[in-house]
Amino acid sequence: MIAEDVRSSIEEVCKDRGLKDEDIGRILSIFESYLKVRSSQMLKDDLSAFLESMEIPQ
Amino acid sequence: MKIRIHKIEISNIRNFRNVTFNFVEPTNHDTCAINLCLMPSGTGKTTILELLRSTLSGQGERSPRRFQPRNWPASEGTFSVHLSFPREEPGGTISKRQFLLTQKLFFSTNEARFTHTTDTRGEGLDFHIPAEFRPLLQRREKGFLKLFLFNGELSKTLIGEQRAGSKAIEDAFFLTDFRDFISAANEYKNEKLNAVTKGAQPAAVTRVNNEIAALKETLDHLINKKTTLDARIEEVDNNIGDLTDKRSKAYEAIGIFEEVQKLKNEEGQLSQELIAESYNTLIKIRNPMVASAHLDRIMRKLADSMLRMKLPKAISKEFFKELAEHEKNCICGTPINQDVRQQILQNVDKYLTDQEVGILNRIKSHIREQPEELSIVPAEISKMHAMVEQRESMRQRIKTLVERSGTTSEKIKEVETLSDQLEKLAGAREKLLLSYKNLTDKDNLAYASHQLNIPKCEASLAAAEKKLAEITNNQKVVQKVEFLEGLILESIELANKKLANRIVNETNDKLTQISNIGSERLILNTANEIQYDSQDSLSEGQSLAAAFCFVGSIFQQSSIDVPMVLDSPGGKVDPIVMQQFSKLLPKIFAQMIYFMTVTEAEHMSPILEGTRGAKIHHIAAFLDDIEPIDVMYFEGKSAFDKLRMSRLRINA
Repeated sequence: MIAEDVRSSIEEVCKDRGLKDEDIGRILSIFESYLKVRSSQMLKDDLSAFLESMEIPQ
Repeated sequence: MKIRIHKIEISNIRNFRNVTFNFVEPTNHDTCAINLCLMPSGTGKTTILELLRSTLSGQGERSPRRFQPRNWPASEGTFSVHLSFPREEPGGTISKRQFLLTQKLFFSTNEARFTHTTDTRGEGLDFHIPAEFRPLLQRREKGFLKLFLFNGELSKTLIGEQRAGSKAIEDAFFLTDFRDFISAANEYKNEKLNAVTKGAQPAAVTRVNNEIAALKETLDHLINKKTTLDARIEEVDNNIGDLTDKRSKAYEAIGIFEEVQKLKNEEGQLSQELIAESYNTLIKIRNPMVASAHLDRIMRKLADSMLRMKLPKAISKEFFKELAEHEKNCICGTPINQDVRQQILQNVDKYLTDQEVGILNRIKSHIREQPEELSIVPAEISKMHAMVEQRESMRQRIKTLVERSGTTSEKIKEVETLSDQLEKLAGAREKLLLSYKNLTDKDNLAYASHQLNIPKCEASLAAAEKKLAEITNNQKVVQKVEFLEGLILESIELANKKLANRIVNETNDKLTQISNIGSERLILNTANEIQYDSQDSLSEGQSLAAAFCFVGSIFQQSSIDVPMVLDSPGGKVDPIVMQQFSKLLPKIFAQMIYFMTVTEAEHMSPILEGTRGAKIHHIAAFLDDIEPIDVMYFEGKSAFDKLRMSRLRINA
């Protein structure tokens, strides 16, 4: 459901900001799940878990 | 993501007593690809579109009373839409989830309520559609809905105004949903901050917490104020729309009056011409030779006989008298003696006098000078017949127009009253927009008060939260959320730019197929805004063509497959542009429901009907003549053509 231009833009910006491939994959996967299920609670839970584990690139 | 509209049922709303618009093929129950609904002006096309928007958005009508029938009593009306959301299941089968959404309008309490029926959840007293469609249809004050429930108004604002085109792209490609990450991340941040500050806290933490609580309260208050202003502006816009419609109709009535006056003048002139023509013809009819072919033949025979009689002046009575009394010789040389003289004088009375000979000669000449064309009278009479018929048809047209327009002086007064009301509403709207600007302005934050301005209040709240993060050792959480927020906003901007470029190119390709709109093209400017290449102001047809191609390109590129519902967008557009539109339409949308005027039907339906491989579903709906006046509904091409032809005759 994520258009190719949208996916490539997210990947491009994440890479530019030094985010790890694994984290980029997680952001896209959270987005995809959100578009399918449309649950705000699930989005918050997924993002919270992501923010807990992610490291801000130096 | 697919949506299909199967039926629209309307009862007790404006002129709809009980009408079902059906968009399903009777043979296989599939939705029809091209649905042409001919509805002459005033039947209710705009009513359907407005209610379709409020029903699909789940927000309900804000002023249900506007839809109360005027021609019969009714305390409530209903507007129902039968929808399906076809989805491919694992294994390749297509499931067609059916939903019936009903919006009930209660006129006495001015309230709207929803009920639903679905094939999976049964019935319920709320708005219900599949979860994945909800955000799409409910967001942005029906902004996304306006893209496919299209009435031509959007064409004035979609391109070049307040990034409306970019917003449409954000909606159609789910970038708006990606923005939801920001609020979810902020919720996480707030939870973290609150978790640390729970229980006994040092005085500094309590003070900042109180500050945050106060700012949150102010922000809630300001957001409520903004929501109220949004609603009020929409209400005023609706009222302005309604009053403008009414005024256009009153203007139209005055226009009809002017047409009546013109027709009356023409009719008077024709009557004068008819009198002159009758007089001339009567004069011609008085001439028996012109009136009767038989008499003409007799008279011409007589004239020929008279010519043969050779009645020269020389042998008149006066001639012989003169000869007998004064001449010695005849003109042939014979001497005139006493006996001859006596004989001439005795017989002189047998001859005609000079005067009589003159009369006969004049009659002879007159007969011979008559025109030989005997059909002149029938031709003149036919001409007069045609004139009488023309005058009668003019009188009939005047009668019809007068009946339609009502009393003109009343209409002039109505226009004046409506213009006053519109001016007041425009003033009120300006004040509301000013309040809205003060509330949302981001440009002068240094001078703004956090109690009056949302961005300032948000900035103050962010600063207070940052302070709290510092004193509770949560800076890292705040930094992470800020990092994510920046990343999301930049990704959205980049994606929007890429998509906008693609869609602008697609739109321009389509525009080249509509050669009659000139060389108008779209561009993406340096600020990433979609605008027209030309600086010249565009005609209504040009901006409509561009907006329509733009919307079509968005849907062709996105994974959203919606029915295009059109409320007579081509009403004021050049017929050739309309025809070229018609060729594009079926290529862009898998289901199209076109509520069209008689003019659109005249120019567009033949082209749409010629679409290769497409089944066309024809609908004709119009107001009947029997009191109480309500909408009559028919399906089929013959009903469609009959209505089209009858309205064209009236308009002619």
